[in-house]
Amino acid sequence: MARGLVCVAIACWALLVHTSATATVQTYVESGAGANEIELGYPVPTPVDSALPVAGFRSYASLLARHRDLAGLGVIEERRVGTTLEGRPIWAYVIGDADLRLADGSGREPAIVFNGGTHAREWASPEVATALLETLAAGAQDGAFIEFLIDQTTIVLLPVLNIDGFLHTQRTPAQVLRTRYSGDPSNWPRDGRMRRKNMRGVDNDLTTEADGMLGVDLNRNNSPFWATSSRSSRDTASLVYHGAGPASEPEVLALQAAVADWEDRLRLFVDIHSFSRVFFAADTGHARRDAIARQVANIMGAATSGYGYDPSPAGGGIGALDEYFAYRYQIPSYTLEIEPGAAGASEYGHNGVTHDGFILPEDQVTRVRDELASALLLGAYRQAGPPVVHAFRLEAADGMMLAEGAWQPDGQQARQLDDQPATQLPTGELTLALQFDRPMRQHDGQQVLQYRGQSVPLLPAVTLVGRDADDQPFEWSVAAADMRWSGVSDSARYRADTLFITLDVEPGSGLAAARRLDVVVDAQDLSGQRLDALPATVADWADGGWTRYEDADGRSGDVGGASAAFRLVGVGGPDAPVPSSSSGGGGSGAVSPLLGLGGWALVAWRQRRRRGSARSAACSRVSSARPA
Amino acid sequence: MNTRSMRMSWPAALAVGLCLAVPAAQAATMTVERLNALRAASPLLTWQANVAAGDWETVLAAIPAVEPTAAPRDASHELAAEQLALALRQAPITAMGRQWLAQVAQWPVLTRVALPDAGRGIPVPAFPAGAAARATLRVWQAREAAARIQQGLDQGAVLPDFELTPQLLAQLTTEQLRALRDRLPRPLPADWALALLRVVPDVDRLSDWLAAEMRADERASASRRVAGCRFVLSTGQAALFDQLAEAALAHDGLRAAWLQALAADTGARSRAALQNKVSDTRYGLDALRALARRPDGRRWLLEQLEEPGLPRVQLRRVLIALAEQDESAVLRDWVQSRRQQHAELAEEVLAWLGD
Repeated sequence: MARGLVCVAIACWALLVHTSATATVQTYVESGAGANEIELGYPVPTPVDSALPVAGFRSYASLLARHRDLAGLGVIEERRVGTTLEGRPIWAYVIGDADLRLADGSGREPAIVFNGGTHAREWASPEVATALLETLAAGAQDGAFIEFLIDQTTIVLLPVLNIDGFLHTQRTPAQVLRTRYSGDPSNWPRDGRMRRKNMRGVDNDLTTEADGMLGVDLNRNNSPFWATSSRSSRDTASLVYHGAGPASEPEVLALQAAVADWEDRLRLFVDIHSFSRVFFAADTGHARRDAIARQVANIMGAATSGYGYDPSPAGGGIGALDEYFAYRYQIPSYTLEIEPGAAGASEYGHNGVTHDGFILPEDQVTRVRDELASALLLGAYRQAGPPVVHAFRLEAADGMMLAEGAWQPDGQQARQLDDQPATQLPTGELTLALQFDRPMRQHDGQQVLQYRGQSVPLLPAVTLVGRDADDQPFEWSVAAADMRWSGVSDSARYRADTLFITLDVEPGSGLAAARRLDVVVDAQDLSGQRLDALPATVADWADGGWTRYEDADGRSGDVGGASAAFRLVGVGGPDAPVPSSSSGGGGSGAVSPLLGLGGWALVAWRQRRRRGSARSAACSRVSSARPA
Repeated sequence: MNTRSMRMSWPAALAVGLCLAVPAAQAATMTVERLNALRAASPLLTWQANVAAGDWETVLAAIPAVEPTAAPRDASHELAAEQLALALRQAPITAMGRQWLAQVAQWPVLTRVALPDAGRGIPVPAFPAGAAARATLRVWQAREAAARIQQGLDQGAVLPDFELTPQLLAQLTTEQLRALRDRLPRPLPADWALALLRVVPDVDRLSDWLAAEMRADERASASRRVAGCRFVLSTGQAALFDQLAEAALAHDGLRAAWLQALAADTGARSRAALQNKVSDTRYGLDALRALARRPDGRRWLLEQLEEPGLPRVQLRRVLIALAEQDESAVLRDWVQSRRQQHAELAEEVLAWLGD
């Protein structure tokens, strides 16, 4: 205790040496600046006591009430993960179902971490973090994108990390303390509404000059690069004071505690800040991780109004939180800087006060909340793992089931195929339903859509590959007109998780005579991630990349490929290869010669273990929903 | 501050400043040290004194020294222009000044500085002269419009065309607004409508403001909505209260502001209005929180805790609202007495209390 007091006394002395006694309280105004006023050109935001989102910023008490209210809905658990310097509890929210397994039971759920409110003055950050919670709560039973995230991931969210500092900024929402300070790189104000750091050594009175510059920058308080950079400082008055040691601050320890239960399954970390309109990250020198981090940032960035990606080189850092997660867990890890860009609020046509980027105009807040919640959840979807074609069903026009199959969990990290192919296709119009393990497209109730900002082919490439009556190989590309995604009423688990394909089998055609027929699918999910071509091994994340995520040739890597998992007709013998041309979009419907045998399908075949061959299901009536 | 430099004239100070020009004219990121050196030697030290003293002649005389080229020549040129643009904001409007501002308003940013504040040291504009000139032009435009409006009012003439900007609103006096109340073009922006309501708090003005807030408003502001609702309650007019209550029921964007205003109002009608909303699925929590902030509302909430048939969601929300008001003793008593009946909720409450 005494030692702490001495440290504070030394810090205050150092501060007094640096500063003159000319700190000035200044006030933000919309228009008509007078002495000691700063004219923003837009309404000065004040915290609103509303738990529900408003066109502006909510008070901390309102945000906490909102988080608590949502935590009563069943899929959100509130956890106390630490205590601030001023004795306030730091809360984390864990969102997901209780089983901690993938929806089909085959593997463990990944964990995604979002952190908000590290820097006190960046009010947009807790709003975006809360929007994540609100979006997840509202969509928990949407039968689509959000429900998938609830089923397949565990999301750990800390909406406000630097609670003491945040409350300090909200106590004087229109006032700042501008202090002359020789070590200050800018003349930007530092205390009151513009406090960045935590409240170590700081009282709650804005007009106290001696402590206005104190506090620890929580985003410089982290290993592995704590105190190694000129962009952090040992000077207690510095804006980027790194603290007495790595993780010396209770807020940083709270974040570490919040993820402790999920350390072996972390796949994404985003620390939400403002401003600059960019995803910062630290390359770690792990080539696969760095490449994936770039991809994920670009995907999230595409869902925004122009957020860039700016990785720093491997081997150095500033002590930021994202570096801690990137290096310790080798996962994609970012500092998201919310808009505006470097020009600040002049981007919205306002006055362009140098530091007004921290004061997002209220009329932008609703859009920013929605946009970034959507982008960040797409990142979570991406890191939930690669998509899998989970099951198929082939039906005759009268609903008679002709063939079916599905991957079933087999132990902790494996699946086995339980399938029943047909012996021959009947003539007439048949329907093939391919069921994926996730919503593959957005569906607004009327039509199939891209996810915000993405440009994934709306339809996959599907090819039927087989041997005809003369044992000659053939392949047949399904035309786009013969495919459609499931909608509200005919999806299996999530909207647009099932692809319906119409097959017109004419008498005497190759399809009608096929002795063997496999279906090859080359699909990308909402984020553009290709299929795990070999679902028998459940993909996971380890050491900076994907494991058991195979491409069409059965090679494990980070890109996936076409999957030839299902046999529609025939038994035994070598399987068909993955067509060399499969790359998304509908084909011509033309029959083309087979170009040789690839290795993947044979591997897949050897993985199969047929069960229940005597099932009578082959001739059973299908009662599930049929395509319109 | 150096008193000698304060006595230096604008042109002389600018000459000193411009001598410190950085050599390269292309866009560049400067060091923090260089930025501070430039700022220390800049006319900033003099313009504040001149503006404060109302010495507009000296300020306007500085205009020719800061050439309105197509783009800033260098950092000190850009810095001088930024500060001159700021100094001109309240200066007399002149043709030369307007021409200068219009040219500088087109300037791209030349000099940037990498501060730790924004992003990870992402370069921000060091001397945003273009933005300062644009802002000053907006203020000048508003000052001119205000003058024309006053002229029109004085002469009883038809009012000139003018844009209803926040800058013009800031220029108008209460008397001018009162005189304008029936002569402004409709529809009004929300900030204008609220300003008129403050001047003339009646049913018509409130209708205007509510209509403005309910339109898709590019200047949506929760802070303004809260201020407006508080103002209406502060008038004590029952008709306005009823009108606002009805509007708040119909418009989500107003409802949060309305509830916040009710929390701060001590009247019985306000409490009753809040009590009517406590079972609302969406707004019930905020109604309960608002009640908890009022002494009479809090007493009512404590009574609710004793209600046997209170739905679980509502009970939980009552507890949330009381926890927010640090009613630890009440909450501990509740846990003690209801632990068996509401085991899960009791555990939650204990966690909130840190027990």
